[in-house]
Amino acid sequence: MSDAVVKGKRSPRRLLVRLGLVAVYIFAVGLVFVLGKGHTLIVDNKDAADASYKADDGITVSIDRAEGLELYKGDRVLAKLKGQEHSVTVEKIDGEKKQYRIKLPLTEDLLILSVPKLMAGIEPAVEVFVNVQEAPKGDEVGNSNAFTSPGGDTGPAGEAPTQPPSP
Amino acid sequence: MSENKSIGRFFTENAVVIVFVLVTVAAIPSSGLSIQYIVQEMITRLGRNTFLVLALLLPIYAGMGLNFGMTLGAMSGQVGLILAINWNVAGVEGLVFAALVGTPISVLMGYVTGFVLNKAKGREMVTGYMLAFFINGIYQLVVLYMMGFIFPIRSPAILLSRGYGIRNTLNLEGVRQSLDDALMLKAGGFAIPIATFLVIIALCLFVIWFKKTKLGQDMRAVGHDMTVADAAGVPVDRTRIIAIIISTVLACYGQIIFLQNMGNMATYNAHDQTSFFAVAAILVGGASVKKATIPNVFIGVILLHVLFVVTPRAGQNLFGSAMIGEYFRQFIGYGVIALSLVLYAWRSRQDAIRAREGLRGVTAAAKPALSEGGAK
Repeated sequence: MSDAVVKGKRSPRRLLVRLGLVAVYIFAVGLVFVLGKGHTLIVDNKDAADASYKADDGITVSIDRAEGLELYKGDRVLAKLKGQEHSVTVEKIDGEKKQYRIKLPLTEDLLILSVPKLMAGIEPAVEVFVNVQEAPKGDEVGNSNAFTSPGGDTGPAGEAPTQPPSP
Repeated sequence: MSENKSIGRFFTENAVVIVFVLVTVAAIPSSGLSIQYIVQEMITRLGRNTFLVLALLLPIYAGMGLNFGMTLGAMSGQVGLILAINWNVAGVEGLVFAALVGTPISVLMGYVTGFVLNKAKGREMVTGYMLAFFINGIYQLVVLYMMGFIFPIRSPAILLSRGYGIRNTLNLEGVRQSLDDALMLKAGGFAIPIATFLVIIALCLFVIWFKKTKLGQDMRAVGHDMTVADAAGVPVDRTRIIAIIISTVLACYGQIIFLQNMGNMATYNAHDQTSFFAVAAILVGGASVKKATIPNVFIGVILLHVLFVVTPRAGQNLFGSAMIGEYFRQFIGYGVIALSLVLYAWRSRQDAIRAREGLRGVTAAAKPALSEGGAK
């Protein structure tokens, strides 16, 4: 092994460059994650249960520059968003237009935006959506479906392969 | 006489391409497909596959043959995509995220492949092929059992109902055609994914530039003759490992580009045929185990995929069953690889015979001169 190589391996400069590259890599992963993080937003136009705010009958909601979503009273529409900060433009039937800014939490995938709350200035207008009809998990599936799906894991598409795929 | 020989030589050197062109040209009218449709398919498939095929170039320059170990890179890309879907990172950012996650894994896989191939010099292709099967087992273990069990997976949509392991098929909705659609040019009735082609052109420029660098020259020297390169001070093993690492990383990116275009991923099978079709394409383009160029890649992808597009329809129209076309394209793929390898072996033997004859010719010509000299 030549002296140059030995010197190169021991060189603190090379170590610093390598550490710098690792830092740049981690920064790049973080940056791409933040910029590209997708959210599913349920745009909701319903009255409050306690009648603290009321939904408008017939509004068009545009998020960023996307095509407007038409919502009547009691409607809910899904929107796929990328990034955390968005502008929401709400247009009523009478032509009145207002723009709002919303901020989505980075780590949450499924959120609900209450347009009446947003228009009434009630915080928080954006909340994490919890699906109350979520399917039971893990063992519950096996127990509850013991007769209908014996074996549990060897179902159709989307389930575990019954045998490893041949090469 | 020599003209006949050179024509014969041209045919033997380009036998694969000629056979392919003939079969393809014969199949196009029978398929009944319009030229417009075929051209659009070719544009799409060039964008989808070319990056993967370009990944094969550097190992060929380094004399390591066709890198069947590129499957390992494809698996790394798939792991990156699984994590991008898991974290719901969408769009081009999702692809970059997958590439960033896949890069260190593919570097490690490339190093392992290069290390193993250095222990099996002269048997690189079959070793790479077997290594891909071995790593496939580890991939299955990680994805089917460890993900969700040891490695946390937060998205229940990609998990099996038992709570661990990734589903058979993943919907890549968040990143589907995000690179293709980033800059789509619609001209003359064709949709051209400019961004994808820019990435491919960038890789072509990288390959051209890389060949001119010191490392690129070292690779060519190693590919030409390892013993001479070693005697000249080129670190042969290290150079070979670097060639395989770059190829594996490119295969990782290539698989991500491929899958974003497809829009879904067969988690346990998507990588199986990656190296097979890439190798078939480059061979169809006129490359050999020892020699390949960028034009070989483009010609190969176009020829192979024209055949893939037209044969099912031709089979349907001629024999009443599209499956005949499907079988046809399977055995054409394997047949091309086999034919190319046989031709390469035959050509190497012919070259050796010619070299020996040349040497004898020189000796025979030199003998009278020597005897004349001796007489004087």
